Amino acid sequence: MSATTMISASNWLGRWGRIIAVSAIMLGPWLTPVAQADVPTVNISSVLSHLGPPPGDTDLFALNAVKKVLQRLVKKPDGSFDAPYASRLGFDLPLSDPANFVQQARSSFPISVFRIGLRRLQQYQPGHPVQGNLLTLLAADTNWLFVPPPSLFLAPQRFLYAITVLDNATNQPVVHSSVRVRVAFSSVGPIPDNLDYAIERIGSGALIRQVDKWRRTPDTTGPINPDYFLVWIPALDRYYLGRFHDKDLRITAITDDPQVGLREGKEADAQEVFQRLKAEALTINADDPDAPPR
Amino acid sequence: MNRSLWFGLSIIPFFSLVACVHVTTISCGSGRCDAPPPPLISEEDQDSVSPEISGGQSKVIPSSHPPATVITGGPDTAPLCQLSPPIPTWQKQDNSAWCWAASTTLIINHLEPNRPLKQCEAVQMTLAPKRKQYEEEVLRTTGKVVSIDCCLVTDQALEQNPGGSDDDNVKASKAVCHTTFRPEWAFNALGYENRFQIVRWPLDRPGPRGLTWDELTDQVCSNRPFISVKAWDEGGTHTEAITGYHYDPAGEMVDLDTHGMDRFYTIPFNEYQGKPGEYVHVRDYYDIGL
Repeated sequence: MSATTMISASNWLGRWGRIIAVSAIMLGPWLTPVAQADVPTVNISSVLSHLGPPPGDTDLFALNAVKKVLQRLVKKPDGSFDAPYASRLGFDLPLSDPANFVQQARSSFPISVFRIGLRRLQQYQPGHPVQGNLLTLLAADTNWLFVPPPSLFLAPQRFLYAITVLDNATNQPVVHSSVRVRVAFSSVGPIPDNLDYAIERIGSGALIRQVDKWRRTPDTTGPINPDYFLVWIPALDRYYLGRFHDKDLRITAITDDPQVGLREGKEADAQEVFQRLKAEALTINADDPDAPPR
Repeated sequence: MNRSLWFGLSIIPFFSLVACVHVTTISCGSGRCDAPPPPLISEEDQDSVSPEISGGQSKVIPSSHPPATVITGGPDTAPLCQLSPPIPTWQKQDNSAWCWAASTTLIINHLEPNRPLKQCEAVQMTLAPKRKQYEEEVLRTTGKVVSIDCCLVTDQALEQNPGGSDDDNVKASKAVCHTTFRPEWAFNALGYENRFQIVRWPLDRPGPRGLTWDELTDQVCSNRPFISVKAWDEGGTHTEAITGYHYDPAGEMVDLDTHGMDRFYTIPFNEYQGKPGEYVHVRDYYDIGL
């Protein structure tokens, strides 16, 4: 409802109408679609500040995906190893016995993934109490497993696992590919105890290498910093690392990003980054599902 | 009776009604329920792709087009088709607006391996009328002669020439070439007019959208990668090239070249057809080159 329409109606309704109309205008931003089906940001804040391991048996599911599904994918119907396919999935294969090399692959180091939709980004308003709250960008219920209080349960819904192979020379796992897993409340059994798991994708070798490179501290050779999560903006084809630092959301570019003025590995204040991304998002018509693709 | 129970009971008839409508809508009188409807060509598409001509062409496989590689296994193992030659590397989109160009270039590079087509050249040819119109308009209004070259506005070219943004040719090229577009217009401009099929999947179509598993595997087995378009739930659309498939006891998988940071990955077949809460499948471009 536009403000003009509401004010016309208020003239007809008199004093109370005007009060209602003004209230509606003031409350408008809280009543926008973004505010619907969102997880409360106060709960999100506590989870993101102390990211724990994936819920339930997610780790076990990811491991089985690698040990079973991946192994079947790289095997041709005649039983031979499909080296070109393994390479496309991201594996940097050795010359000798590449099949055995992939057989040693394991899922490791999951990172939570949060998706930001185009419309949500377009509605981001720095300084606004709701739409300026950076956590609102991550609050879509499609990002979370959420049971409201009193039996509060909140966990990310999507995890990207690195697929690693142990390097015998250094005795360190080396990242080659990835498997993304989605967790959902089971349609049977008690919530939140019963969870369902699904493979979303296997591959994205270049992405997981960049993620793995920049989620380490103090530099790319250090240990993995578990505070990081992955921010995914599919409509702009962007991924960033995010983390809370002194209650501020920080964003790290994992590749050079001229649109937001960040070099690979550089961290910036999330507000600045999302303001620039919003400008880019506004160039896209979010309302036409058949718009020319980009 | 408490209010929640009362509310629950009161909406049961509504759900029953919805279920009836749903069943009625997806029931199929003949053929397979999951077969796609006839291609829906929008008015905008009709300008460039006449459905009558497109459907009426006799399909001749070019003699130079090699067959797919078919790998057979034991009697209980389904044969697997793979593109021949395999897609050599990934086709990164050369700027943020060019997924359509990346997908069409990947496919033309595969169908015509001896044609060294680059993305920016595909864009340059596709936008030829728009380029000419813009150049003439600039000449008319400013008296300046500008020459639009879409290869000036790839991310790489712009990074290598950071001062170039002041150049009139670069500015004009950016204005014209850095644009979203449709694969059919690119195919038409690149010699594939009437040599591909488009199917649009209406948003209100019940059930899965996208080619069926048999149709998808047929494309790969005829050595033809194809383009699928998804619309993200919160806005934005994107093309991807489907370049392979895999049978798996856990569910069939589909290989995607995405042109972006993900580059290449495989997804469950049902997610190729759409993913509630994330994206809907809106188009396919297939039988390309026939």
